[in-house]
Amino acid sequence: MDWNGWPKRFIRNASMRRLGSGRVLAAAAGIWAAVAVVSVMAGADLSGVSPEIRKEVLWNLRLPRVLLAALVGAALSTAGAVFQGLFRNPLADPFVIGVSGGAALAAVLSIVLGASATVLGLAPVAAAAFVGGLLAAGVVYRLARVRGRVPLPTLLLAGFAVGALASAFLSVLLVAASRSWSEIVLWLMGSLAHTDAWSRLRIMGPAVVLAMGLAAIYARDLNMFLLGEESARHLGVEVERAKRMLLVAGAVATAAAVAVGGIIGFVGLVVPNLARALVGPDHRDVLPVSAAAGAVLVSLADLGARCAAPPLELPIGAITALAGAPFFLWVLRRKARS
Amino acid sequence: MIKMWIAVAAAAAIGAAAFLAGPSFRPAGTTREIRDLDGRSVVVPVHPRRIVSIVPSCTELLFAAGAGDQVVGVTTFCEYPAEAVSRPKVGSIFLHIEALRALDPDLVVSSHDLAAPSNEKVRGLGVPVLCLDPKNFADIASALRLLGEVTGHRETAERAAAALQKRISKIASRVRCPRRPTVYMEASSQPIIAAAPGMTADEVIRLAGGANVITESHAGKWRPISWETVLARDPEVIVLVHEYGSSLEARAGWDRLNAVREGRVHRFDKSHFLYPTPRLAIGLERLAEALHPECFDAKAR
Repeated sequence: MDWNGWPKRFIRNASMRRLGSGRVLAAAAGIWAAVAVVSVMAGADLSGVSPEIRKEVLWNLRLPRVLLAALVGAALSTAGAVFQGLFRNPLADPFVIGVSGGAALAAVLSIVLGASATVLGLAPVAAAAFVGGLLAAGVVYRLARVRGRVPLPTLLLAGFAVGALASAFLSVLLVAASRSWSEIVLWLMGSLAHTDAWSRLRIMGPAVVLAMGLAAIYARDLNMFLLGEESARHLGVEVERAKRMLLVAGAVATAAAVAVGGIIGFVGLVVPNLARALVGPDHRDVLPVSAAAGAVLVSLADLGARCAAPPLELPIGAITALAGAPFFLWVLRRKARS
Repeated sequence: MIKMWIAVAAAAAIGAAAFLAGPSFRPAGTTREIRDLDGRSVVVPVHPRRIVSIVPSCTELLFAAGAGDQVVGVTTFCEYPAEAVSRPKVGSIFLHIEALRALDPDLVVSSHDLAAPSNEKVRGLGVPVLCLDPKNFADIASALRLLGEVTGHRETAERAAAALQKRISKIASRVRCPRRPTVYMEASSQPIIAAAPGMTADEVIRLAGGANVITESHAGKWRPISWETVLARDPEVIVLVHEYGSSLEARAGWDRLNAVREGRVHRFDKSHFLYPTPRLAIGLERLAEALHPECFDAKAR
């Protein structure tokens, strides 16, 4: 892996002609609004249904679902952008520091144990996943810390190791508890088909917004990290503190996304790359554009997952890849040519 | 070096001995060809003595048909009847192929819809697989008779099949109500799946005097549906046959549903509804009474 060549290449790209982030954000907002309107209109046939129930379907099922999709997309993409910047690696994704592994393990445990108590109005599986994800990130951070410093390569490797450990336990659980298979597999594949979407939004919305705000505060430091930890330190960045805050932001955003939507791959990996290709490497642009593009992509993918093959709901992770990969390749090739 | 070769030779010898001493296949000539419920031909032993069931409903059907004593292996999911629980296990939904082979079965009873990959593995061992996928009460009776025929318990099986049919016609004679309430029957909440045409549970709803709100079939299986579909069809009766019912009130629009406001939400034991076995008749009786209490009250008076 070319660890050092990558940021330089993107920094060079910065001088190239690129789109202003304002225009990209406006375009994303427009597209999202259109997707949201279609999402609220599309679905089961509501002709001849009482107005009360129709209201219920539109306002309490479809609307919060598309909002949830936007939230998950924005959270995953923000986390992806943060981790890619921090690790200076375009292959980093929101799940590199073990959040998904910990969340999945906790969620599956709660399914297997049949947990039924809601936490602050949040479904038990979602609450377990959120806590499990944060716990795993905390463990990884603690394991990687040596004498008050957290070397980034160590953090990355600790993340992989904890993730592998979690998925090993998960496999064992999966076989041991084959009774709850469909529920577990459904959760692992990722889905936004919730009947309690508002309560999920109420809890996870603020968490994601806080995480995004924290990441935004440290966007300038993230730019410095592109030059390497040492250089960033010389440029006056409080490196360890910035690292910690950015990790917290990434971990909270990821854990919240996984808690409400399960493990939706691809978004957090590709959207930040897409954002950089569109607006250049400055994280003050990359973070908001990633969030917006991620929101659009996941909302669109969820619409597809819901409506492509009724009565089945397709796994949303597959749709995100299906919709996003060709578009990303197109942008990548265009970028390479210019 | 020589030591190593000796070790290898010894291991090979032990392996060969184990292979030769293992269970051998039965000679041909003691088998016959039959047709299963779906018309597929299966070559089965004339007198199967060591039967393994790898699907819970098949275990139940075998015991009901009087062949329980010939059942030498079941799955960890086989919980009915009680005698089946103590039989050796050959896996859960994952088949433990060695455990199955070690039982030296001469017939495996399974389901085509639920266990096709496992069935292929079993056939690969040279053991015949008889598949039973009843889709209605008539099929369940036929499955009982077929098993009775195959296992040499024709009379017991015939009695069981006749008893089942009598039970069903008794319900049919009681439920003579002109109005059929619309019914939604849910078998899992994550994902939400519902009884759909072409499956046993749909027939149960019809025979119990209800009308299924789900009118689209899903290849004879439980149909995945969205909650908004349930809201849109607003059933008069909701029947839950699963265990995860705690978060019902958290579902958007739950309180607005006709069935909820009228107090017509029923929870039943899933084992009386999910499996195509004689116990389905219990489910039918419970549901009929819930849908048409007036018919049963009148009879009692």
